[in-house]
Amino acid sequence: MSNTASITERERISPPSVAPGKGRIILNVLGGLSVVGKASLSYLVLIYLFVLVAPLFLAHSPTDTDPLSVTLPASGQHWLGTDELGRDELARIVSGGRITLMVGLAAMALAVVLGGLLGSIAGFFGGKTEYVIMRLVDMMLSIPSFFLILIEITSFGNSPPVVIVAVGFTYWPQMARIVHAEVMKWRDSSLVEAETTLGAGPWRILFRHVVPQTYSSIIVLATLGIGWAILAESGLSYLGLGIQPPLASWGNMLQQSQNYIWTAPVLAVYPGVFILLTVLSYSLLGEALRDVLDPKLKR
Amino acid sequence: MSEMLLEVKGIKKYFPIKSGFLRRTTGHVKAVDGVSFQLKKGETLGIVGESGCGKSTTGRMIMRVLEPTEGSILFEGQDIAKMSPGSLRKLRKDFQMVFQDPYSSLNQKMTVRDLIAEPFRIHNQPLSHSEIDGAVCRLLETVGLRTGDRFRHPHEFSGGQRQRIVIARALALNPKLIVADEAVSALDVSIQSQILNLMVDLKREYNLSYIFISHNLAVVKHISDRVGVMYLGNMVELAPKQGLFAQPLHPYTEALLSAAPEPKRIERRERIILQGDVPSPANPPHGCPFHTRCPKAFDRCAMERPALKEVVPDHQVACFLY
Repeated sequence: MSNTASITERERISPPSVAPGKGRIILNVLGGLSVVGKASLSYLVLIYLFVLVAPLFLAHSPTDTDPLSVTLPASGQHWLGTDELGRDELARIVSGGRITLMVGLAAMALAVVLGGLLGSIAGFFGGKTEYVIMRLVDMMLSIPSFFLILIEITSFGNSPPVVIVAVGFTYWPQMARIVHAEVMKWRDSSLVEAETTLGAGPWRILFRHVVPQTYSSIIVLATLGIGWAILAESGLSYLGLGIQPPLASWGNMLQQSQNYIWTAPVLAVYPGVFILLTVLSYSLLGEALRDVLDPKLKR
Repeated sequence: MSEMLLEVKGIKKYFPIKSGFLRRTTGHVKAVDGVSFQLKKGETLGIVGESGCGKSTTGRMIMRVLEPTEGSILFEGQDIAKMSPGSLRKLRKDFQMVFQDPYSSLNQKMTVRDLIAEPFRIHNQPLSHSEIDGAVCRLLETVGLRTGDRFRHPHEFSGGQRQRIVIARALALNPKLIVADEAVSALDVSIQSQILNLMVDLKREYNLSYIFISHNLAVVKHISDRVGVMYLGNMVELAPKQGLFAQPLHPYTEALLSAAPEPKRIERRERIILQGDVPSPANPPHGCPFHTRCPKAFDRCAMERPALKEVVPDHQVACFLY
């Protein structure tokens, strides 16, 4: 009977991964999020849906200029007004958001794959492999990341794929460090020993049994990282080095609007508010996920 | 019956001690210092000893989870001590291990079905989904678990049930040898006997041989045919169960047995209380490892180490008294 008691105890502390099936596990994790976490998640789901679906219904193209109707205020024709070239601001926000949000996601996906792969290999195999990979990580982390991105972009051009690779490539060492530490905890565990005695090879043990144990850390770090990647892309574009006009991104919209900050301040407010809300939501969601996935860290 | 399954010859495991700024090897912890024994097909060998005597290290070397520093381990005539990891992997289905802590040796993120199916997948057995499912269900029934529970996760089971899962996994590939390292030590006494009886039944059903490592004399006495007693990395006595428990020869075995509680004792055996502590395996005494605490030690014991030799038929002991 004492066993049943201890099982219910554990369930209360960590609600996830109780029920069979991946869908139920995800639902449990999301259901366990704090109110702030749920609000952040809802905002993010809505904003992604918005930038993906809205172009189908918008009357204006984000690139059509109209010299006769520049910096118009919001109206029934242009819901958020027009910018300095007479382009529809709402259409710009939507297509700029599309780029900014996708760059953030894609850059983080790259960082997760690269950092996760190298970090887990270093943590699991140890020895010389570990030494080489982790010293590479140290080296990467010792270079100021923003300047590294600047150099990469000035040498390889600033098309969206290059921006994605540059931003993702800057974040992988942090991912590698966390995954390395997590995997190392398992290196000498009886789980690894048990799988070895069954006859499993090292790669199978690593990717089927050890890496899944680190998923929660990866998810939390990646969530926080997407916010960072969006900021990095916006910063680059604001400096005129990221996404180039006429392609819109929230960052370069900010840059262009600064000349009109006194005459049409709302042009800066719209992209600014969306960047702020999105990055904030990612950070809050990351924190909330950490509380659910790793309850030991909760105050 | 008398066919040899496993022959362990003089295996040693030294762990280097590194110290100082340059991390130079300044000594060795001699966890296992030359252990030899044989295991016949269908036999159960119990290995007892106190914490730190090297019994678990011995078991893990037989499983080749640890590389032996020296010595050979012949499994059906093949030396697995020096085999490459790749060719060893194919052989592994013949010898399996049951661990002390079933909770940490099972992947918590997998269902019981996937955990038990894992051995089939590892060894690329050409089985369809439903064949694997059938095999998993049969194994669950064999170890006394409900087949309906196969989609649950390990944390939903009790300690004893988890150990049954581990045993089912070990049985999946029809092994010849199972090394059980403190397999029941983490369980309640009532559950211990259930698991032990299950293992006895399985032995008959699957024609298994066991190496049963435990610090618990009662458990070893219950399950073993022969018993080896280890002290400080050495096998000091190795004998059939009846002989060893009725007539222990080595002074250490005598002291060990006198310390074990007996449920119905007709005449109180005299309690032998040893002086001092077990010496450190990093700096074991010269000569017989036990001479520092042995009540019957004499000059020769401090000079040379006694070898394990047969004194009574089948009863080996490493002591100069015989």
